[in-house]
Amino acid sequence: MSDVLISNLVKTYPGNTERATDDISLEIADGEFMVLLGPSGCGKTTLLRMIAGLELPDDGSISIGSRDVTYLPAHKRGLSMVFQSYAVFPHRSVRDNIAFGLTMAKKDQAEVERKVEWAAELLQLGRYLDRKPAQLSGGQRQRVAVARAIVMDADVLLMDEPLSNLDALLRLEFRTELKKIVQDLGTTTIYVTHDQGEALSLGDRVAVMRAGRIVQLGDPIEVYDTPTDRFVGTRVNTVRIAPDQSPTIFRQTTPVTQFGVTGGIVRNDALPINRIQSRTRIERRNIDSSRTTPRPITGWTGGTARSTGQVSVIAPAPEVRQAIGSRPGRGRSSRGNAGNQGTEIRRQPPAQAQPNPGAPVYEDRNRNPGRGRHEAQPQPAPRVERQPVVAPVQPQPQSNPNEYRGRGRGRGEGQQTQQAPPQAPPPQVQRQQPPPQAQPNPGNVEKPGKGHGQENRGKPSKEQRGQGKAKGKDKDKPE
Amino acid sequence: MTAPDRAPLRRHRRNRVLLQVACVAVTAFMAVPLYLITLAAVSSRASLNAFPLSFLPTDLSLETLGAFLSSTGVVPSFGNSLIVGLWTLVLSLLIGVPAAYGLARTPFAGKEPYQLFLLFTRALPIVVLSVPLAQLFLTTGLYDTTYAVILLHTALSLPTTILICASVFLAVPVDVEEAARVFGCTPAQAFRQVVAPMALPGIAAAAIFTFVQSWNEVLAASILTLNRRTLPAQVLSSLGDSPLAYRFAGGFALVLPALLFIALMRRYLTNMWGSTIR
Amino acid sequence: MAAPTLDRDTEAPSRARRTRKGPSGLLLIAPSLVFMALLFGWPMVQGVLLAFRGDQGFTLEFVQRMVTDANFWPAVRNTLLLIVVLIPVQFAFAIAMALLLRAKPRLANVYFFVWAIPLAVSDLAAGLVWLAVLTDRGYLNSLLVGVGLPPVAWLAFDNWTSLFLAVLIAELWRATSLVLVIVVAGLQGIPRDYEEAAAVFGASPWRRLWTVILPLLRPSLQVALILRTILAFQTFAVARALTGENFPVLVGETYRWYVTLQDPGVAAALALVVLVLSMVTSVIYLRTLRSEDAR
Repeated sequence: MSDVLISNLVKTYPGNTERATDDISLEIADGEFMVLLGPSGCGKTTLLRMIAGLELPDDGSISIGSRDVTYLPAHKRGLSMVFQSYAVFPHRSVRDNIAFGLTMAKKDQAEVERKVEWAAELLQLGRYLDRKPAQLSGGQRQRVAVARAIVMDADVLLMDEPLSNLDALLRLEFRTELKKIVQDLGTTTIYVTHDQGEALSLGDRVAVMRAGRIVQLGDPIEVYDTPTDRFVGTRVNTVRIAPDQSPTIFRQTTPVTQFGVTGGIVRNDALPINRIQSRTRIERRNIDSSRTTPRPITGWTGGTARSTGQVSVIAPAPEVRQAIGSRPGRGRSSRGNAGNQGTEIRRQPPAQAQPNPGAPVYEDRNRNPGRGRHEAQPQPAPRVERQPVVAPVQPQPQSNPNEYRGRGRGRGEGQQTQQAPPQAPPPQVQRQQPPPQAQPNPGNVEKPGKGHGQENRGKPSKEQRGQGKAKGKDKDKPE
Repeated sequence: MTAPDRAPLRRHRRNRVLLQVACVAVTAFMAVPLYLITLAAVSSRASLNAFPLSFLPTDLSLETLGAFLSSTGVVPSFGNSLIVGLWTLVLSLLIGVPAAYGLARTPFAGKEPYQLFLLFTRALPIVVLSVPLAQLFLTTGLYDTTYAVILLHTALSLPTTILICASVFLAVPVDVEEAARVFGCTPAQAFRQVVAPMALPGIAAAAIFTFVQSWNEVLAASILTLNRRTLPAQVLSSLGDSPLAYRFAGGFALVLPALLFIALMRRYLTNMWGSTIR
Repeated sequence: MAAPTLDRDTEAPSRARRTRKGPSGLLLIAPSLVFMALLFGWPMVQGVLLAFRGDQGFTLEFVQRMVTDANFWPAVRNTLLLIVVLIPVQFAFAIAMALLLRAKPRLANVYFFVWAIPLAVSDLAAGLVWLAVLTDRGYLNSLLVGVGLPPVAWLAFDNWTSLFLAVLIAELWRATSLVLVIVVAGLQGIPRDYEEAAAVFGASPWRRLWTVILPLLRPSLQVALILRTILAFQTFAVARALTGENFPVLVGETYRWYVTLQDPGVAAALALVVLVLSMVTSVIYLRTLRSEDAR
C-alpha cells in the first residue's frame, strides 16, 4: 500500500505537437481511490500508463511509496493493473492467469494456490478455475482480470476503463461489486474512466481531465456540484443555431460574454465533441473542432464553428478562467476545498439576455458567499466584445459585474433572478437565446448541485421550440 | 519528493541504442552480400582477377555482364525464363482465382478436405514430382519444352496462389458484393465491378509472387529440360566449367528480379504469408 | 436479385451461407482439382513405380544401387545435419529479428524491407552470392588479407566442417526471411495488451517472451516449421553453387543420378527417400506441437 506522487509529468507522443499530458501533478494518498475522468484524448490513459511503466514521460517524476519509479521498467514497479481489454492470457487456464503475477514473483506454490482460491472465491470464479478464457464470457473474463490484479496485493492497483467493454447491465452490477472489493482491500487505486456515473460513484476523489491537464480535482460531490470545465449542456441554456447562421454561431452564448470571456466558447477543444453530440442533438459534427489555439482574451475573435443543431454554452477555457480570477483546478490535491477552484464557471445561464442586472445566472453552484473571485475579472473588455456577438443581448453589459459578484456575495442580486424568467423569453425569442436560465435559477439558486439538469430542462426546450430548430429536448441532463 | 532516479532511463536509452545497432548489424548481414554480388557483376574482368578484391566500385565495366550474356545459351534462357514465368502466372491465375473465389465465397461439400489437400500439396517436395514427370514428358514428347516447365511450375504454385487469393477474397466484405447484385448485377458483373477492383492488389501480389517463384526455380527446370533451359537451369548446368566471373554475373542476373519483386510487394508481404497460415 | 438479401435476417450470420448454391462452387474449383490431381497424383504414383519397377517387375535393384553408392550416406547425413543445425538457428534468428522489429526502432520499415529481400532470391543465386564472398579469391579473403590476416580456404573440398558452415550460412542468409515474414505476420496477431499485462505483473522481457509471446506464436511457428523443414530437405542449388559436388545432399544426388548418370530408377528412389523423410518430420512436428496444446 503506498501513496503515489506525480509531479509535473509531461509527455508528448512522437509525431504530435500537442502534449498528451501537460505538466500534471497529482498526489494520491495511501489507500485512496482516485478516479481520472475525462473524454477520450484527454490524457488520462496516458497518465495511467506512465504510472504503470508502459510509457515513459518526457519530463517530471512519479513516486510510489517513497521510491522514485519514473523510469523504472514496468515489471519492476510492483503494481497491478486491470486492462480495458482484460488482456487475459488465452493460452493459460483461469487459474494460471490469476496466479500469473504471483508466479512471476516466484512465490511459494502453496501460498499461490491459497491466494488464487481466495481471489477466485471473491469474484465467484471458483467453478471456472480450470477453464480456458475462450470458454468464458466477456464478463467472466473481466472478473479473471480483476482477480489477477487483486491477488497480487500490490502497492497500487491501476484500472483502465475496466467496465467499458461490458454491457450496460453488467456494468452497473459490477461497479458495485468492484467498489466493495476495493474498499475491503484498501489498496491505493487509480481508476480511469470516461463515464461520469462511474467516477462519481466509485471514487474517493475525482480528477477531471481535459486536453492533458487536470481541470478539477475534488471529491465527487464537489465535482458534480461545481464543475469547472465540464461540458454542461445540461446546466446551461441551450443555444439554438439556425442553419443559415454564418460562422460565429456562438455569439449566442451570451453567458460567456457576460463573464467577459470571449475565447471560451469558440475554443472548441474546450468542449468534448462527444458530449456536444449527446447533449445537443447536433446531427453531424459540424462543429469545427480544429480550432485549438486559444483565443486571446481581450477580443472576441469569433469562431469558425458552425453548427446546425443546438449547442450548449460551455465553460470558459482555462486562460479565461484565469482572467476572471479563478484558479484552474489543476492538480491541487486539496481534498476538501477543491471545489473552490473551478467554480468560476459559473456558467451563466444566458441571463444576460435579461436586462436584469444581477440576474444571477446560475450560480447555484457556487453559492459561497464571500467568494469574491470575480472581482478580478476584467469585465470591460469582454463587454465590448459582446457587441458584435450578441445582438440580442442588449441589456447585459452592465449587469455583468453584478452578476459575478452576485454569485458569491450579494445574494441580494440573486434575488433578482426571480424576475429574470419573465423577462427572458420575450427579448430573446428571435435569436437563439439561451433560454432564460433565470427560470431554473429560482429553483436552483438554493440548491447547489442538482440544479444543473433542471435548469435547462424547462426553459430551453421552450426556447428551442420557438426557435425552430429544436430538435429534441435539451439533453442537458447531468450525465 | 525524491529526485528522479535516472539510472533506469539511462539503461532504457542504452537499450534503444543497442536495438538500433542490432538492426544495423542484421541489415548489414543481409545487404552486404547483395552489394558485393552487384559489385562483382559490374566490375571489369581485370579487377575481378586481382586479389585482394576491391570493396569499392572503383573499376566498373559492363564486360563481365556482357561476357555472361553472350555465353552460349544465356540469352535464350532469359527468354525461356520469361516465357515460363509469364505463362505460369497466367495459367495459375486462370485456374487459381476462380478456385479461390469458390473457396472463399461458396459453400460446397468437401471444403475442408479441399483445404487440407491444398496445404498438403503445398508441402510436397518438388523433387518427388520432377523425376517422374520428366519420364512422363519424355514419353509424351513434352520433354525439353517450355510447356513442361510451365505445367510443373503452375502445379507447384497453385496451392499457394489459391490460398492467398482466397484470403484476399475473404477480406472483401460480402455485403458489397450483395449490394451490387441487389442493384442489378449478375454475379459475374458483381465480381468484375466490385470484387475484382478490391481484390486486385492482393491478387497482383500473388501473381508477382508466382512469377518470381517460377523465375527462381532451379531443380525442376533443370531436370525437365535439356536445351530449352530457363536461366537458373542454364547457369546451374554450366557451373562446373565456367569462370568465376560468369558465375558472379549469373548470380546477379538471378538476384535482380528478387529486388524488384520485394520493392513492389513490400506492403503485401506479411499479408501474403499471414494469410496462408491456416 | 433482391431475393438473397431478403433472407438475410433469417439466415445465420456466416459467409458460407450466402446465396450461392453448391454446384457452382465445385465448378469453380474443379479445374484446379483436375490440374493438381494430374500433376501431383499421377507423378507420385509414377515415382513409386519408377523406383521399384524394373524390367521384370518389382525389384529392389534401384534401391540397392542407391544405398550402396558412395555418396548416399554422406548425403543423408549432410542433409539431416543441415536440418538439425540450421532450423533451430534460423528460427531463433528469425524470431529475434521479428522482435527487434516489434520494438519499433526508427527506420523499422527500411529494415523489414531489406531483411525480406533474400526471400525472393533463388537458392542458386544465394549460392552464387556467397560464392563471391567465400571463394578463395573472394571478398572475405580480400577482407582478411586487407587487415593483415592470412586467407582461408573456406571452400576447400576436404574441409567438411568449413563446407558445412558455408552452406549453412548461405541458407541462413537466404531462407531466414521466409520464416521472418511468417513470424512477423504471426506477431501482428498478438495484441500488445498481453505483453503489457505480463510486464505489469512482473514478467521481465525474457519471461514475457517465453510465457506470452512464444506460446501465442505457436500456430505460426508450427506452419513455418513444417514448410521450412520440407524445403530444407531439398537443399540443392546452394550446395552445388558453393561446393560443386564436394558436399553431397540428397537432392543433389537425385539430380546427379538423373542427369549425369541417366538412371531414373535410382533418382526416383532418392526422391522417395526425401518424401518419406519430409513426411516423417512433419508428423513429428504436428505431434509434439499439438501435444503441448492439450496440456
